Amino acid sequence: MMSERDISRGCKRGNAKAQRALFDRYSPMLMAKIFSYVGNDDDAKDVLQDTFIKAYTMIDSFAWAGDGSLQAWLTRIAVNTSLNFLRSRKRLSTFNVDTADLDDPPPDIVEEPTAAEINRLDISTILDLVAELPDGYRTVFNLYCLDGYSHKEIAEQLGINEKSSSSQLARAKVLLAQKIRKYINEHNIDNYYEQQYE
Amino acid sequence: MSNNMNNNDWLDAIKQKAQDATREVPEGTWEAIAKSVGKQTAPARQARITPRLWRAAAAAAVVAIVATSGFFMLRNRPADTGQQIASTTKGDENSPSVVDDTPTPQLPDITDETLLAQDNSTQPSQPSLPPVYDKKTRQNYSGGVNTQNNTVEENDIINNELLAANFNEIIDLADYPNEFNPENYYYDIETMLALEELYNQYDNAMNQEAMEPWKSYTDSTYQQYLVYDANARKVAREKMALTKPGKKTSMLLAAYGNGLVSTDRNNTVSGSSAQMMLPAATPHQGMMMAPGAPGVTSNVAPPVNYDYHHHMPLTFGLTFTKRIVGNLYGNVGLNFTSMTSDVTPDNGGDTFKQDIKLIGLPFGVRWNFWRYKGLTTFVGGEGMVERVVDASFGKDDVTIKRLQWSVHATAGAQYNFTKHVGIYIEPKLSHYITTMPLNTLRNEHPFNFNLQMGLSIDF
Repeated sequence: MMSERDISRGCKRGNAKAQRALFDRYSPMLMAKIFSYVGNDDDAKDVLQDTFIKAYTMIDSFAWAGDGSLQAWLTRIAVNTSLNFLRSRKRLSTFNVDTADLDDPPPDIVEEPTAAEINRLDISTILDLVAELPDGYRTVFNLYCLDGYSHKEIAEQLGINEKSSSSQLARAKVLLAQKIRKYINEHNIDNYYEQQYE
Repeated sequence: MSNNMNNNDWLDAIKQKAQDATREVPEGTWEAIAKSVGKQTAPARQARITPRLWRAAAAAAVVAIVATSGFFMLRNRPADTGQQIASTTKGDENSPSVVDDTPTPQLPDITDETLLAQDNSTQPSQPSLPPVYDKKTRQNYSGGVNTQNNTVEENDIINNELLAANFNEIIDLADYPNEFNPENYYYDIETMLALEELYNQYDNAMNQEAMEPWKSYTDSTYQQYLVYDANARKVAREKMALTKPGKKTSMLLAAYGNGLVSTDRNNTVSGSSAQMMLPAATPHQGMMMAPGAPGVTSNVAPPVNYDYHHHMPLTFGLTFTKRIVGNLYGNVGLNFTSMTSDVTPDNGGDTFKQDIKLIGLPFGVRWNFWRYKGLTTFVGGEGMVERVVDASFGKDDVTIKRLQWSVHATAGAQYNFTKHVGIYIEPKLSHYITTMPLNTLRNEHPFNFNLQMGLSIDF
């Protein structure tokens, strides 16, 4: 099995075997990441392809900085490519992030799920629920909660102000909490686990 | 509401789970990526490493071809041509032969006894030495000097003089009509070559003068030529004076104008390295003597001409193509060509084989003007220089140092099975600029059209 460093070196030389190894190792992770941004598998597949093509063509700009640096570099490419995709589809613009979603009435406050309840859910289920969020909410939620961007960085990235980013995130949290609560209630997750552990 | 919105434990839990999240990648994703990468990046990047492999493979292939060709050529050649000639002269049926059913082209024996016993008027002519191909007349003339120690080029020079002597007046012959006996004679090769050089200068001067008749180019060169010739004759006479009593009857024959030949009759030839024996074979006499020259016409036998049946030349080679810019490609390669001919003397002798093997270095450019999937069509130009690595006329080895230059115009199509390997078909119009001393298909048809097919390796 090739190490991450060997893969990066091989890709820099244009080695087809290394290129394939890069894809095999990171494509499932990147697929999940991209799906959480674009919200459906078909678009995620297209963005995943663009991500790897960019990675192969820009590999010379990658500088090895220890284990995990290649994955982090790929993730940045995937996120940027996803955002560009959303912009290109007119699904994410300064306006509709700033105003359109914010014009919606704020969602009703519901009981937030606990960490224990989240841990009982499959991550694919959670991502499916995240995918149901409006583009603007979903984007800010992903950037802030999952990828660790600050509101300032999000504001720069999306061309919005920080306050808008913060508002979007607050609404995204409430909406996602509703969806998760609804899912738990509908699927009787607590009872299911209680039955499993009895 | 038991939780407030500032409690982010559930969000941290999502983040934690999302870090290890994976999702099934739809089928065909890699194929689509690989296809795009192949178009966008792979050629340029792979070129960095694959040429090493291809070069190594190409080098190995070239070495294998050359080594194999050389091995078989050496293996099939008689070990000692001199022994072969001697044995065939004695009628040894067990002498080694390349082609068993090929009659032995016989060199005339040059010993004194044989010369004395030889009856020139009844001796049937044998294919002796490689015929001389005359570029001007595009005909072949039998005869030549003893080639055991000389290259074809040296023989060619001398025989060209013999031809010239045959076609032009032999000026000094009238001075020695009673002493001439063409049974045997020798040439001083150094003298011959020097005179050849002077004559070439004179010839060039004449050509120049023909182009610029208001100028005189010939006087000085012609004077040099005459002076050198006079000295050569003087030296030859002195040599004759040193021969043994009773055998020093000698003559000097010189012809010039369009050519020159100096002969010296001497039955006691010592074989000095400065002298080169001309065999007293009948065909040579026909070339030596000017038609109608006094005292010699009765001894002249007609020259032997040969009929050639040329087989299709076989060429094996490797061509390596490298993109220069855009659709313009450069190519270089290595070819091995074998040309064989069936040679039949017109005096009734048996047919024998002429075999020439050449190593060629083609180089050129081609422009791919249309491409569809793996199919590419192209036009191009190519030059090639070839060197004879082995040549034989019957059972006689022939050394040919002359390079053969040629130019080719091509148009063809190539279909690639893989990115680097394909087959091609290439109609080619060829012009062979230089001729070979031996008569070949290329000599007879300097312009020809041929069809080449092969395997192409692109990198």
